[in-house]
Amino acid sequence: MLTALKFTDHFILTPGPIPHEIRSSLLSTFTQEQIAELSIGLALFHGFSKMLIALGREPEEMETTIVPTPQFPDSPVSSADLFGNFSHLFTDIPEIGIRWKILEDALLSIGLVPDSALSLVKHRMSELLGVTYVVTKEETSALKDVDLLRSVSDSFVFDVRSITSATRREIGELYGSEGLLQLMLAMALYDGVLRMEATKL
Amino acid sequence: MSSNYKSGLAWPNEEIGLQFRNLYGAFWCGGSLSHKLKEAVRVRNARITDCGY
Repeated sequence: MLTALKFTDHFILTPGPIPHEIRSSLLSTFTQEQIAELSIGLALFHGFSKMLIALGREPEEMETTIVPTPQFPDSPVSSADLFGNFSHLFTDIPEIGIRWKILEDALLSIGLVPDSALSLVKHRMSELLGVTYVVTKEETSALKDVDLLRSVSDSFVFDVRSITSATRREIGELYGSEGLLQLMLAMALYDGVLRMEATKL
Repeated sequence: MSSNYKSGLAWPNEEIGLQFRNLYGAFWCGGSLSHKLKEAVRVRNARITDCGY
């Protein structure tokens, strides 16, 4: 348990290549599959916590609430569906990797935020996390509000509470309220998966 | 816009919500890590991130 919590702290607070001591401890405690599971869990927890904060959707007060364990999905998936920039992160957990890719594809098909804007965000986050080699840089010269998108990406990765209602309003004016959701969902997904890459496990 | 009232998460459409639940469900119900460990790192993240959930 302690090893997993040390890894959690590193993943969130100092994303980058994992220190030797924690790596050794992880490898002697968990299988490769379990380490991959732990990583994607952290990617989801951290990314989507920040999505809630960025959207200003936290309650001021919340009683202790018991939420049922999510159900295993009914629909089958094929391992042939696992491809893309991040497929190597899911080699040991293909069932989860395929679900991640399906969600990313659904996200990209929404069409409220231009593909070039999503690409810019993904690339900026990869710069911040030191893993640009995993993301292809695409043409963004025709894109408006590059500075805003870069700034929000920076905030999401390292200081999510600096995303304010004024920021949300500005993004909403560009892409609409559902476009704001699409953008923050993209940030949640990419922040998590790029942190997985950054640990170099 | 669809919303999960328990988590506060909101989605641009139902399809996105469904695919997120499929991914989250595959994580929680698959693999070999214990639920206890998964819950411990979830709570640790919430503490560090100061997330109300």
